[in-house]
Amino acid sequence: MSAAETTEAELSSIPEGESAGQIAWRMFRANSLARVSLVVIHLLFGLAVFAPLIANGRPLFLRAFDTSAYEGDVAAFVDWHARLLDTQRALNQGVGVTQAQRLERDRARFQQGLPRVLRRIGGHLPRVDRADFGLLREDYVAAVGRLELEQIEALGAELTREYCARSALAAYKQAAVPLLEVGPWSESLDDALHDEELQAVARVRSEGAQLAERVASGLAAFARFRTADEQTALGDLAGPLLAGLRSGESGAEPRQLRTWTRELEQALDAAVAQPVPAAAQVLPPVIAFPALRHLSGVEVAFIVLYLLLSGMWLASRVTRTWSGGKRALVLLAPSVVLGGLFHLVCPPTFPPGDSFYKALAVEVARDDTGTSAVVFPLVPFGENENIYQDRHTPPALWEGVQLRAWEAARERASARGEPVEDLPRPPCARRFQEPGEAPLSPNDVRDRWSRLRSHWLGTDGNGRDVLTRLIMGSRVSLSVGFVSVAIYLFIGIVLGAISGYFRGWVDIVISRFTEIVICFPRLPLIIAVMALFDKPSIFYIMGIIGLTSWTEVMRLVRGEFLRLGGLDFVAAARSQGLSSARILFRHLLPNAMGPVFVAGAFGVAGAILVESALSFLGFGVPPPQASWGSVLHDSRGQEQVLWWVTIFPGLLIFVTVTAYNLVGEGLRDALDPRLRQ
Amino acid sequence: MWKYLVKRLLLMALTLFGISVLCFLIVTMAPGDPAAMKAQALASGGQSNLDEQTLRKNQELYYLDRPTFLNTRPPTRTTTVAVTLEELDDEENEYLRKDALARLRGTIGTAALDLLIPELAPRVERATARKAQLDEQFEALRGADAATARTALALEWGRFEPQLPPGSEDAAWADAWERRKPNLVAVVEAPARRLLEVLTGIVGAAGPKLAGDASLDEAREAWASWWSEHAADYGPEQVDAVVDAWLGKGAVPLTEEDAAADAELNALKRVGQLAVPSLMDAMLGAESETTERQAAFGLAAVARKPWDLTIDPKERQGFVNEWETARKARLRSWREAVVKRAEKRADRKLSDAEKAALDYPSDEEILASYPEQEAFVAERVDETLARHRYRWEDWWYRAEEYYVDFSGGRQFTRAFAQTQFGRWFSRLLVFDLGESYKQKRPVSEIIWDAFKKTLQLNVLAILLAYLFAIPLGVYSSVKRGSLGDQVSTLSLFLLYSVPSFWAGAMLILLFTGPPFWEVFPAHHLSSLDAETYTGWGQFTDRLWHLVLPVAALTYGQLAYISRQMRTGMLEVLGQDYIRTARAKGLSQAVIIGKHALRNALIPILTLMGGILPMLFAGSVIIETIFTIDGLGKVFFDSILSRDYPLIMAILMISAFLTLLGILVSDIAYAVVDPRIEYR
Repeated sequence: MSAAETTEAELSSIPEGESAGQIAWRMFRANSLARVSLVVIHLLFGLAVFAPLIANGRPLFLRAFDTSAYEGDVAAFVDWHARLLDTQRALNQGVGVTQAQRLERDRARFQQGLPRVLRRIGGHLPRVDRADFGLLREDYVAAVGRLELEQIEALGAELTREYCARSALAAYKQAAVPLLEVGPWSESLDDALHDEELQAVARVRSEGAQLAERVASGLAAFARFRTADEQTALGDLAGPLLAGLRSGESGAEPRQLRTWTRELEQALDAAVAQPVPAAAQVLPPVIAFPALRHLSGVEVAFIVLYLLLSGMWLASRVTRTWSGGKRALVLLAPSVVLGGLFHLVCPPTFPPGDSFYKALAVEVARDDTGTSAVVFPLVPFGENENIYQDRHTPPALWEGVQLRAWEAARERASARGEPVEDLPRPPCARRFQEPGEAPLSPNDVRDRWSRLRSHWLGTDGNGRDVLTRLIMGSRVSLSVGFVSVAIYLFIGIVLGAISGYFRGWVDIVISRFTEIVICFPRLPLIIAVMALFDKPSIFYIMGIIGLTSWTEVMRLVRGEFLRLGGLDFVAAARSQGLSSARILFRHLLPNAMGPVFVAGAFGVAGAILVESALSFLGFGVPPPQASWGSVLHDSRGQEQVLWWVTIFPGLLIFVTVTAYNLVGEGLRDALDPRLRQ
Repeated sequence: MWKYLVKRLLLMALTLFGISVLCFLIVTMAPGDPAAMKAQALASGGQSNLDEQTLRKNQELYYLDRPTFLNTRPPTRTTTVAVTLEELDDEENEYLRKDALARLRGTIGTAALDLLIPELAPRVERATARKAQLDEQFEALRGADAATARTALALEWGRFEPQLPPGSEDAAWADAWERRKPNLVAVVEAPARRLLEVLTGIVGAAGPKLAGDASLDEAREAWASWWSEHAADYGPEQVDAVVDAWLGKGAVPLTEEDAAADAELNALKRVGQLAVPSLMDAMLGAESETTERQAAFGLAAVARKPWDLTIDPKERQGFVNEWETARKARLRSWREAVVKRAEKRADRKLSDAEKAALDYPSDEEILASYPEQEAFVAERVDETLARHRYRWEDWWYRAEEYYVDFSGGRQFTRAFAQTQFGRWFSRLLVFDLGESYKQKRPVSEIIWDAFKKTLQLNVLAILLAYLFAIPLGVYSSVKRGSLGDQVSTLSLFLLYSVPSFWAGAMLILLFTGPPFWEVFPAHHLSSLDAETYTGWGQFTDRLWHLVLPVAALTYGQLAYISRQMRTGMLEVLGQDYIRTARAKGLSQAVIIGKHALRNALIPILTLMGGILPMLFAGSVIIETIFTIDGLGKVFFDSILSRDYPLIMAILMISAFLTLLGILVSDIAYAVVDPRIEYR
């Protein structure tokens, strides 16, 4: 097809009254690679925006029993009760005026607070118990209201004992403290030289009976929530201890008591680690959304914006009501806005996922009543969650492939009647086998594999999930491109416009300066400047890329302005007496923007590359934060061991850069009429 | 054209100056005091407690005590001595005081005598006046208005005020103050005494003989009469005579006894630092090596510096010993390398018997390329002398202000030169890039060593890139739209987007290790035992090491250049003259090779401008990944260790090369394309 024919065909296909922008967009749309790239970029930004909901160490949804709330309330009750008593006693003894006022204020606080706490505790309790404790509680509240010391003390003690049923361990431990203080420093009683130790021994000997009472009541309270078997077991374990305590001076050696206490405590600890079925059925479950709760307002706003714009774009595609240009704007806008604002308003770090939730999830998984549930995000790891035993885990799929191959080989071998144990194991199977353990069967391994499947792209040398870090890092890597390009477009356009429009010595000065900046090799200059900062930060990277890369844009804009300045429409505008600023911004600048857009699209790709290179060299984001380059940096020096840490971030950078380059290419083809052939 | 060239060169000079200013600014913007860092780097064994003295010494060494760009008060001899005298009287800072004392006595010495001796009389007079005042005040203490006098004294001499219980008698107060009087007198006399100390220190035994407890007035008298007698000894004629006598002697004493007996040298020493300027002139302008050595020896004696330009027998023996040790080490390491290679081949440790049975080359063979003793020593001597000359020049650049009163014109230039930038820039002008903080070697030497490695890497990469890119670009433009064109265009486009650091890491991952293929070495430019290979072995070893880094460097260039080539070629192929050529019935080969390619290569010239800086420092990342000790890695390491001279030098040189590249490509453009006019 000759050039003339093309132009003719093009001319005939142009609808009447189509603006330059519409033509450019039509040309751009005709480029399918560029369109696909635009969608890829959009999706990548979606990944960045939704990162906390896609990859997070916290559950998205959680329904469980909040045992800690009950214990906390009981502890508050015990504390306030004691302090109320102290306050009242102090007041009764008589103190100065100011102190009395302060004490009365405290007392009033406790008087009001205690009934509230009691009500809250009641709310946590099973209905049966609630009725039992109801009368007691009312009596106590009444006594508190009347400030009758003895009654408060007696009723409070009883309440404490009852309430401590759930937190009995705390009560018991409190009681057993003097026992544990015996002999922590020396092996036998004869070496008991420390004063504290001697005092503790004396106290245990003299107060043995009271201690025994307290320990026994704590234990009894605890046992109420146990099964009959467990109760007997605890009784057996506690028997000698209590007997020894009760016999006082003549009783067992304090050190022996301590040993018993230790054993008992370990047993209790073990018992508490098990779920409490009785409570689970009656305590009201707590429903929470931890991951959502940790979203900042800005993040929510961006998510809403993204959804809105994507929805609008989809709607326009379906109904075909909008022109292409508007649709392109809608598709581009979120990327531009998000990229530009992401980091300026919300920090890219996300607090590391709490191990608390992980432990909770295990507990929930063990609960067979079906009332509790936990939903983790797709990738259930925090950005900086070190799971030490999981480090160097290869991608789950890879392990699965290896294990399947092993299994198949074993099956073939057993079908042929050969011994299966001689087959070489894949390294991951070896990893699961503890030293001294019997060899694993493939089924065992596969179970374990399913447990580990969650590390889709494996873990790095610190046991951090690579996929999570890549998803979180996309925020840094994507926004760096946009912000730095925005900075240098601004500088370049302003300087270029000034020197191209005013010419003369202004032009000479600015051009000289530009030439000086051009002469510095870009990457070494950026590295050198980055190294000057003691604390690297993503903002410095953006700023430095912006401040060092504007020269090309400046030359482009200057050239365009020099070219346009000689054209008739500028002369016409001048002859109308328009101000310089108006001619500059309304007449010249819009006409000069084409090449700038192209440079910008390529520039984003370049900036992403520079940021990745900086992070790769270790000058990028500060360590716990992730960017694609810094994930790649984590594999430096052990590329062969951590091949997955080498491949995937690079792939992501490559895809992004290619997408931006394709968009730039498409833009250039669309905006530069010379290349339309 | 010549006019154009001259204009461009002038503009280039301007730009270069701008570049150096910017480069300097970037580095001076750096947080942290380079002097402190330097001192920290020096402090070995974890001793990093920096005292003020080290810090100040370092600041002086690196000119950090000077203003950055403009020195409004450039120091000259008179002002330097005045400032030092001020510091000598600084009551607050004891370090400054001691430092000033040492400087006056040691560094400036006799050069300041004519300024210091007139200073003595006013100081003594001031002390006498203050003493008289003190006497009056003490008398008043015993008088009627004792309380007022006491208050006045206490106000003035707060830190000497005696502590007495409240309600003490006036007489008790007076006694107490009386006991402190000697201290007060000492303070009052201190400036004069310190100056006396300086003078005695400078002149030494040649000065007036004074009793240990001589009063100030006596001392002043003695010094005044001594100076009236001896001023001529320190006058310019006498100094010139002594210096000429020394220079004319033509031989230096090699042992200490000789030196002590040397009359000319002793005369020179008596004249002292006054002789420094003329000796310096003699040394810098020396025509023969003998004169230079003579001047340097005298200079070292009077300026108390160890950098004479004389290699005495002891030093020479040291070099011989060095040669001996290095030779032994070379023989040993060669044998070890042979063993290591054999072990690697056998993949196990060798027993002693097996080791002994190995085929070792003879000593002569090993030492074939080893320098002879004389050559080695000569080289070391040259090195030492060069270093000492450098030190003298370096020292004189700063110390001149102690000895010379500058004329107005020189004062003006020094306002710019005596600044941090001026110092750096003036050294840059004579291609002196300074000394690395970290490695303690001249920067130019480090850069040259590293550049040799980088050059191998980059020359190969660029050559390969052009070699493949141009045919590829031509092919895909000629066969436009064919499958081959589409495949190559797309793959080159994708290749262009591959980050180089990732490519490097992937190459290491794929080709150097156990999980995949182990074909190429991952690091360095040669094997550890490469020294023991034959010439051909070394060559192939080097090539083998170069494959991966060159590949990682080449592909991006290749993709970019061939895309440019394709675009340029397409444009040319659309031109009328190609159609004409076709119409003439020329063969395709002639059309492409002669008509199209030549014209399409012109835009490639623009790219060529970028080659120069790329050759120099275009491979920072790749060299870091592959652990090649080239310039890129040196630059990277210097940034990590904040080795500012090195950073600045490399930035500066690559900026200069870029500028040069632009100029060269512009000129080449104009030469090749006659349509371009010079403006």
